[in-house]
Amino acid sequence: MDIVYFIVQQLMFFMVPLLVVALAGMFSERSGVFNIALDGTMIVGAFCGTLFLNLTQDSWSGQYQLLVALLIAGISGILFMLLHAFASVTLNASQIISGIALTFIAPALAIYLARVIFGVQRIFFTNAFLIRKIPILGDIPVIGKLFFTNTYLHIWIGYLILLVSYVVLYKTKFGLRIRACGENPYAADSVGIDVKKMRYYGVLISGFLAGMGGLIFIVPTTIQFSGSVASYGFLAIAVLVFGQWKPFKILIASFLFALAKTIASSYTSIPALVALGWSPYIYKMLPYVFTIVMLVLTSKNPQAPKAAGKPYISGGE
Amino acid sequence: MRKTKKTWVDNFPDLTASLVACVIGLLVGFLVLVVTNPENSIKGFKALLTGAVSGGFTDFGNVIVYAGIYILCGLSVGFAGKTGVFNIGLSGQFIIGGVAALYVGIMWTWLPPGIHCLVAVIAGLLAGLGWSSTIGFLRAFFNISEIVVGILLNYIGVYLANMIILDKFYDSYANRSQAVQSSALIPTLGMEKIFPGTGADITFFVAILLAIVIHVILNKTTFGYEIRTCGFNKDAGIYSGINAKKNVILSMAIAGALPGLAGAMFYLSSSHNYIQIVDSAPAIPMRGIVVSLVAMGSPIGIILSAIFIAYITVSGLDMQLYGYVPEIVDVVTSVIIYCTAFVILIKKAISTILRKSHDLNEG
Amino acid sequence: MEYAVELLNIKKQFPGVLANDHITLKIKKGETHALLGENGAGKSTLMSILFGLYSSDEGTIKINGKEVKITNPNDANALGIGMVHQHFKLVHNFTVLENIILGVESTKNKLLDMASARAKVMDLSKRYGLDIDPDKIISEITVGMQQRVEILKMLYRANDILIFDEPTSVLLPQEVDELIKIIKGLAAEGKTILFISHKLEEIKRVADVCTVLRRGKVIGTVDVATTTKEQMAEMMVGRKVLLQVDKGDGYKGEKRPVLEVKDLCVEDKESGKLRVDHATFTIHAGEIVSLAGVDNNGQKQLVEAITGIIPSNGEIYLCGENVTERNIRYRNTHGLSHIPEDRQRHGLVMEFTVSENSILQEYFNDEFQKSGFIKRAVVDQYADELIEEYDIRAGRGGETTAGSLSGGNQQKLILARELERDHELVIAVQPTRGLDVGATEFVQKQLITQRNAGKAVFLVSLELEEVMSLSDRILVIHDGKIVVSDLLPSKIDMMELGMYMAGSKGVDKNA
Repeated sequence: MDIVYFIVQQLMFFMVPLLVVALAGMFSERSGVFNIALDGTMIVGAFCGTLFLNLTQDSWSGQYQLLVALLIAGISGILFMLLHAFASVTLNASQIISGIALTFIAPALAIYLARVIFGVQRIFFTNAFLIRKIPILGDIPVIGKLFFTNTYLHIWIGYLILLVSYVVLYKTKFGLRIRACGENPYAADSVGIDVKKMRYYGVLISGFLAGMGGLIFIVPTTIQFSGSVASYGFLAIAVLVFGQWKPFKILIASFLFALAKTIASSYTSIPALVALGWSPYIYKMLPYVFTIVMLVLTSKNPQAPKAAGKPYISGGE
Repeated sequence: MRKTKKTWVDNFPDLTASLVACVIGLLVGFLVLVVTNPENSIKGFKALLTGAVSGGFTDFGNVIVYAGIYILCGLSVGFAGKTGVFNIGLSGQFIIGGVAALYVGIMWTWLPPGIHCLVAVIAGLLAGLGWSSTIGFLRAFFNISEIVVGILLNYIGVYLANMIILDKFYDSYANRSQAVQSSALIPTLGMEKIFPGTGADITFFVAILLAIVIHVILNKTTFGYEIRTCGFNKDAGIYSGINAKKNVILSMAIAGALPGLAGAMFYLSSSHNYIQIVDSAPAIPMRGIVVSLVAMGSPIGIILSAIFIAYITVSGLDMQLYGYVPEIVDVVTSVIIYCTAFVILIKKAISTILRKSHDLNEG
Repeated sequence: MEYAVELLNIKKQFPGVLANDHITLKIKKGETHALLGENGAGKSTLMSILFGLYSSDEGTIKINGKEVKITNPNDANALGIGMVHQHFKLVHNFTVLENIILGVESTKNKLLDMASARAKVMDLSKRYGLDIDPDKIISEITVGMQQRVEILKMLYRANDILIFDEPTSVLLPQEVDELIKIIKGLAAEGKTILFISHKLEEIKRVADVCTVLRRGKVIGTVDVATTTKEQMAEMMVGRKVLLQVDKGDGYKGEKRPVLEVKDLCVEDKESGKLRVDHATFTIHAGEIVSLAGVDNNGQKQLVEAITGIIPSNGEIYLCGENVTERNIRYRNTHGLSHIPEDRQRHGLVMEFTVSENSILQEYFNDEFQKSGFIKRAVVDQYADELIEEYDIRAGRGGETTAGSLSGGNQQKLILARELERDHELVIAVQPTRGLDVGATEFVQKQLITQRNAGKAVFLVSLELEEVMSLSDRILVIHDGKIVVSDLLPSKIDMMELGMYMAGSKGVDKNA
């Protein structure tokens, strides 16, 4: 039974960053801008966040330190995404090339700066953030052990982000307008909405979430940041597609993926799987193959925002 | 009709925009150096620009080796780009090609020496081709983003390659594959004497040859004609009756054969005739992206940009000896990519500026 | 009596065309005022200026007696002006309610207040007889209901001056009746209504007053009740001296059928409306047959069905062979040549050179390639021949990029390519659009030469003069139906042609 608890806890660690970054992609694409710079933004966020943690680890600790780190990660994500917003929305340049460029700039800068500052490619930080047990909630039989022990603050922040995203997207004026810009910007324009401004918002929000997502990814899984987030930014895009660009479907999609990844990384604790005698690489491949299958299955009825990726030139059609 | 004087920009708009993108990239690199290492920034920048030249024959050999890979990978991105598909799956195609070649090179020792090499190379080429065709197929028939699938296949490729190595020809002492038999190595034509230790061989020349072949295919064959038509104007392609789906798959197939070939030839050379077991995709092939974007997909341009990128790559590595961080090269190349995103705008801006100054002068 | 809208001396010039030539139009409050005119008459441009989508070069606008500046739809909206466009501006996967409130959403505690919006919308819906379901998704409702959503958008914003741009072009006959009832209801409430149309029947039913535009000028304003349809049609197309085109001796050979179309139907995917409605006609060798009609009555779909670009029901025979199931390349290589309407999108690859474009339909022939390699020298020579024969002005000969040619020369290039290869049928869609007099003359001469040589020419044109002067026979299409297929230019006049085009004469008039 302890194995089950362990697996579920691990699953949360894999799932939440995926969820948050997929939501980041959702905001951007819903406003009409393709965003393959998510991975790069994660790296930037993770870099700034872990750098902060490293620099303050002697003088500060605890959940507040983590919160500030998350905020810093998010803000750095916004600043980085400005590059993508500028190229895609203001200049109407190729959104794909801009995204790819940022995908490469991020690790280049991160590794370069890490080596300049620390001499090595890694930034170490002390991870003292593990919450052993949430009071009261952690005592609930079964569920308490599953969800409320051995967890992190930002896991719950992730769920909060999911709820807030849902409300913003579907229940606010802002959300309605942003969605209109991604489906039919000309209709939005004809009722007086500033499409370019809305798209900036969409991209910058995605920057904030992706930046935070980077740090959320790093903290539970390791004690160092070495310039990579294992292409989570791209997996998040696949999750976004499989989740049909809708918040709760994205939750399900990221859960399924995280499940695959968790089984892959902890199969040694499952006697039944060990007995099969498969090469460990089969397990490593599993989540990725699973993702491709997911993409094929959802290709029949794409709910992609209709205007995503098309440069918006006002006045014409 | 008023005759406007033709400026350099009018005659070579693409070349000028590429040069501007490169210059901006280098300048940003310099800026980063200034910010992070102010006292040594000028020396560092100079090292970046001239490192490879001062490194003698070894460096020259390394440039040739890198350039060969970059040309092949650049051609891949460029060719796929002509159809409107972005091939980011270079690493996966490279490593799969490499492992296929290694398989033949290590296990099929019953082949006579020259043929052994040839078969190994072809195996690598076909493996890469098969790998990229998956991307093309998924894109043509399911409209799935080739970028997402490409990245996923990069990972799957590495894991698959490692799995095969571990299973078939593992060297547990060094945590890598066994070495390729010498009968399968790429001919070097004596270059190992001129450029010792670099692994320089005929790969570079094969790459140049292929660049010319790709150029011919694109510009002189009916297949290339169809590719370019659909890439430029899908509607005109439909009007003419061209089968777009078939073209996408075929061109992705060719696009994958090239990095597969690069991987095969890389690992079949004496200086690195084994694959290390690591869990990350090789980064070198990915430089093909910047090579192609800078050259705007033109095969001949790719030869030049590949040499340029190879040059600064080697300079960057040399910089390590003097205490600089070589990743500055990655910063430079990725900024160059960013600039190519609005290269058309750069073109327009330059020609407007020049035209205005011309008008002022003539006015 | 105060005028709700005054457009005074409006001038709007587009490159090559004076769309609005000092137009003055005064609309009384509460009036239902129709704007009648053919394509290119300038009516859409004028209304777009009123709604703020374009700005006029000269002239002033007064609303309720006060001079105003309208630079974008927001300004228009603030003045109470609303517009239902021909192509709806709706978000396809939003609900009806969401589309109506977009841009003027009401909120409570920072969240959308759908309840109060819903109440207001349903109230308006009842008041004006606009039947809608607020929770249905746009892509799932009929076109008629979509249009009512657009109307509700205007009413929700308390617009008093309502512009309808060709509102019935997308509607089924029974939906047209619905709409006319709604418009009358709006008029009864005191709204000022501007109704752009080319359909005389509807103008008669709905409007009080009608202003006729032709070629950017106001021809006159008439009281609808006391003016006959014939009179309005005559104002719309005018009487002109036709440019005499020398049609030569004509074709003396056997007039075998080259294109036969039987019961051809093209269905619009979203609305289910038949864009081409059981079209049946035949075109023979040695004749120029024109398809006349007001824009957007199915011409585009008909041509695309015949050329193979879109699927269709019915039968198409090319030179006696049933090609209904055949793909585009088969048709192109078995007798069909096509000069497309949009030369930059379908006819040429702008980035290619003249040489490369010249073989777009033939690069796979043995003449131009061997084992997959293009015979460059042969292609270049071919291009040179085309340039010479068709007088294409290309600065660098075959090496000139198509994008740098003028419109007229681009068209000549397409013409050259399509007419010089083997074919029996030429489909020419708007072949002289945007061309100057010289180029126009050239193109028309070429078509006549084709006909005299025994080819079949199917000319789809919006230029009535061109249709009257070139054709041996005229078909008229209205609302997807071929309303008449044997008009002879020598036997009818422009007015009668106009009547057919406006749906007032011909097959199924009472259906």
